[in-house]
Amino acid sequence: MRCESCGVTVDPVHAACPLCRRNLHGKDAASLAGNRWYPAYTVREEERASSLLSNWLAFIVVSVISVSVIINALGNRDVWWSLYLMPCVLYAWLFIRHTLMSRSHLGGKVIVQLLGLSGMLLWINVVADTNYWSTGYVIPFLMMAATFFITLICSTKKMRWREFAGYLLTLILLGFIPLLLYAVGMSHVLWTAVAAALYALLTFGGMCLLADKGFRQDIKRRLHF
Amino acid sequence: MEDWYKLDHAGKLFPAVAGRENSSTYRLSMMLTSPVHEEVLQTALDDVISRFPLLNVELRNGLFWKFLREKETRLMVKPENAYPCSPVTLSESNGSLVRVLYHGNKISVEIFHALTDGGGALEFLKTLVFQYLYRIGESVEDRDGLILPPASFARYAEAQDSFKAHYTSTVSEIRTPEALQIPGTRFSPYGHNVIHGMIHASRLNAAAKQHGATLTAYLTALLIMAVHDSTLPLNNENRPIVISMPVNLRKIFPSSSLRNFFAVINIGVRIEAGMTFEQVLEIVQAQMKEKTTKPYLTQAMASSMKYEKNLLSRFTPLKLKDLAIRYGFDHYGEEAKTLTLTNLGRIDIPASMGAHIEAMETTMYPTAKSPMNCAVCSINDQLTITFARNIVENDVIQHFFRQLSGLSGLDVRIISNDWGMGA
Repeated sequence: MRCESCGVTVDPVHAACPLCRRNLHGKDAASLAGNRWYPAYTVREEERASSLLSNWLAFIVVSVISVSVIINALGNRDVWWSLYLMPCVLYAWLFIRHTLMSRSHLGGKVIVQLLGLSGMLLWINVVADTNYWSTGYVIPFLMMAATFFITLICSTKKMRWREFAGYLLTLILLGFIPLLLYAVGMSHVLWTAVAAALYALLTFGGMCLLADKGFRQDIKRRLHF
Repeated sequence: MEDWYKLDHAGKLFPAVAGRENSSTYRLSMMLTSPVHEEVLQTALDDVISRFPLLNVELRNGLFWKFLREKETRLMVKPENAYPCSPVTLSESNGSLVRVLYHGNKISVEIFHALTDGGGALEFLKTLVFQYLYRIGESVEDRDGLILPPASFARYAEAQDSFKAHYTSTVSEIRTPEALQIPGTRFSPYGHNVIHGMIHASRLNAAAKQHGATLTAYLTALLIMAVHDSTLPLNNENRPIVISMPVNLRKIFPSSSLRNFFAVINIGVRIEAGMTFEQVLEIVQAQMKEKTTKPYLTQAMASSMKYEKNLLSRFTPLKLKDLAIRYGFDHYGEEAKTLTLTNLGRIDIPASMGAHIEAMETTMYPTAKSPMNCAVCSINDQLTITFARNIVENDVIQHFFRQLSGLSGLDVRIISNDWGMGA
């Protein structure tokens, strides 16, 4: 069928010219052949429920933080309580959005929880202007607990070593952060930092000894640079 | 025993930038003369996939780079039911980076760009269709060695990252100005509208020769004119119209790699008032000549590889690297071009196979900032020009085909998937 407007021949499957959308004369719907090149698509409305919930959640978080800051600023400014509330609200958002709502891998959820919780505690610690109790005690033990948790999961089933290899490797590297924090003066407790690093090293050594050959190869792949 | 592969240099980009509006998944299809049988196609796929182990892989995260791991599961053929070049599943479990689809007489392969480029994908499709025809009982034979022999996979040569093999450190800074971007309204629901224009290949080639130009230069100049005509009131700053063009480096550097091995050159024209098609064609032709020389491509390759070679960037954690790659792609890659035109050229297949092929097409995925892309290939003396877009507006395509048919005097047959057209 010829489209005079575009100066092209249109395949008979089309009732209208795909270029200018003009109806092609003499062509009625009944005489149209099926499209040999493409199927008829079943177009579904895009899933928006999840993104709508996320948007509401983000809106609530921003609202709570901004309202609390304004109340704090206009009211009693001797105590900046809103600065304590802020990390808690952000952590709650992270918990709902990533840990509860997302379909991420369990290993990923553990790492995000570890980072979120550590971030919240460090923030509160800095605002309170006390000794570095978070970096000195809580964060190193959180690191060890997260590594232990993943190791425990891996121990339940042989195949899980490879499934969790990347996450475990990340946790082992994170295990050295307390030592780094001590080195830059953000922690004053050496024994917990050393314990976290040692625990990470021992986990890595144990993994290499106890896990199967496939796991060791997987580690090699994941560390290639 | 499962095997794994590092991503090649170009392949490192795509996983970082892929998303709904940049699927990084392209398509190659062959339209046969008879309906496709699913079971036979599956058997043919089972036969040939061991020859292309790089295509039955999944993408995994490393600490510094992603990598590909051979899948333990079988690659299955599927009926086509989604829009062309829809995103592949990149998640770690059950993700397939290759789709083998059938619809009526058509066999399509859709491949995530991190695995291979059009050259590698073409070898796969040719081998698959040849094996399918053989399995269905057609008397096909390959006397000229145009199909990859069913010998074992030559891992060293065919899985080689040829970028590394031909790398030299002669870096040059090629700064490109911001190009004109085609504005438009995204399809809702999101999808890709595809329009094919089919035309006699040798006659079109002769028309290009009359202007003293190659076919690619001729089509590029036409495309630039079409973009100019349809965006004239919007281009107040007189930004250049830049056509980005992948160049198959296998033709310039010796390589039998089945992975990515291409460079991208940008052909840009800032159109002044009163400029004619012939003047634009002359500029395009000159730029193409300059930018497809070995020294230029060596420098282009070195420039894009310098970040990968840098020790600091190699030891940067993957997540940070992904952010940097995405930023660079958005601000230096996408903003420097108006759209992409890729020409696979003339596809040579055995004559006995050609009798069963009606047409061939290749579709290049659109992206967020390049909402319309063009791909060209020809088989059996029929050239197919395919536009894929994710926006409602199609003025550029309309102008292009009008000018093509008017200027060449040849008949262009149009077919579309009608996505977003309510038909």
